[in-house]
Amino acid sequence: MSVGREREVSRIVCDECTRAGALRAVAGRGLPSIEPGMPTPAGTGLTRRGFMARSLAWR
Amino acid sequence: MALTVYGAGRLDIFDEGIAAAATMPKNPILVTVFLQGGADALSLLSPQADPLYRKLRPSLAISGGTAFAEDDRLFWHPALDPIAQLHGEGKVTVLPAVGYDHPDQSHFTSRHFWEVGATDSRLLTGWLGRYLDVVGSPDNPLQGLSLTGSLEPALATAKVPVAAIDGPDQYDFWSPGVWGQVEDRMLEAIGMLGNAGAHDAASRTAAKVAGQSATLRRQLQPFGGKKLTPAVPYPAGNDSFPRSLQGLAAMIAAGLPLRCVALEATGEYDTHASQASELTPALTTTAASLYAFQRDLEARGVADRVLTLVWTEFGRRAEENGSGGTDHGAAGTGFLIGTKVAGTQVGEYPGLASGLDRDGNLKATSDFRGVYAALLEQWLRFDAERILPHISKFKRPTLVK
Repeated sequence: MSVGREREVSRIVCDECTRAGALRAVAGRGLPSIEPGMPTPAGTGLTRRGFMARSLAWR
Repeated sequence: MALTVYGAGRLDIFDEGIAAAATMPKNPILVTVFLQGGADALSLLSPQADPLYRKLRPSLAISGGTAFAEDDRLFWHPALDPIAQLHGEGKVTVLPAVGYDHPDQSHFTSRHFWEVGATDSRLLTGWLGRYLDVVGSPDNPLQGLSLTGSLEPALATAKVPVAAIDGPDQYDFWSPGVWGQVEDRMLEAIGMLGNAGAHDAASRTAAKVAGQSATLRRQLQPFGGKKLTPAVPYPAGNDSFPRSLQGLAAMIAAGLPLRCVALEATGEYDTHASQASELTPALTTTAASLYAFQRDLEARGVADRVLTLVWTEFGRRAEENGSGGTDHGAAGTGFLIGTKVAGTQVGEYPGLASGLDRDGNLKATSDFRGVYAALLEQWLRFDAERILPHISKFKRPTLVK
């Protein structure tokens, strides 16, 4: 099986789906390496002003 | 407390911005709900009268459910009975096979295309974010609101601020061992930080941020689920989706300056295995929550302002696999819900005899880009050509009556 076909099959069968779900790329938090050539999620790198309250909410 | 504002160049104008926006005309609101993982179109609307269905799905074929009024080959998944009921009232537009040409079966890539409104891997703004960049304001972060705790990429802007909260009932301050009157005084003190003098720019900014946090907390506090008395019952339990919709309905009724809101539905729809047992509970809660949300909006007298788009990144293969599930496919099923939807399906179910591509996946009979263009133009009254690339070639279905 060619590399290209292997990649296609892996996308369809989704061996990485479980891990992909757990490590879902979140805009602004960087992109885990899950799939070669995957697009950068919209919003990645967007300036994020976390309100100070985020640091004030502690347990 | 989890509130994050994205893209805000200035944080000291939110008070005035939100107050001003709250008095603006009652603009239409678009809510998007994502079924993550690629929901199986042939289960959401099962082609029980299609002769090839049970041959391709010997163990997964569904029996029963409400007949789909617009195509006698199709039946609603039994868990979608609430949506079927709304459809019977003319409040649901169904897209039986929505997708795009040259479908990509990667979760990440296909989802990205839907989020940016184009089959372009390079775009870094969401389709709704680009809309907000034109019509939005620099001082109203609630104009684009993610109710998932992080920025939903479809709302990613380049200029104006948008916000993300964990859920209307998850927005609060807390501190261990602090409650009652002591808690109230602590929160007042945090707010007063915004008025505190500071000797350097960084301290002044921090003080302003604290003040803004307290202001937004006051504005959002009434919508915490624990304090709400919903107009209709929502599904009980710990799931965040119905709670978020419940809070959202209250926020809309209260006139908060929302334009676009993004949520993720209950459950995961990437059903490579055990599809029957995985899909039913997810759809049950999702459908019941969407039904309750629609009824809630109607009871509050704001239903005419809200349209909900339910989408997924792709459907699943027509033939079941050997694990009691299905693998990534092409065209999926989408819904538009609201009192103002046209209520007529967009694109027909293509059938299994001639409606599968060379990979055995359902061919699309409508394109998500045309749907987006129609939503922008018919619902949001905005020229889609301004923000969707190459959109002139896509037919606009009639979505709004």
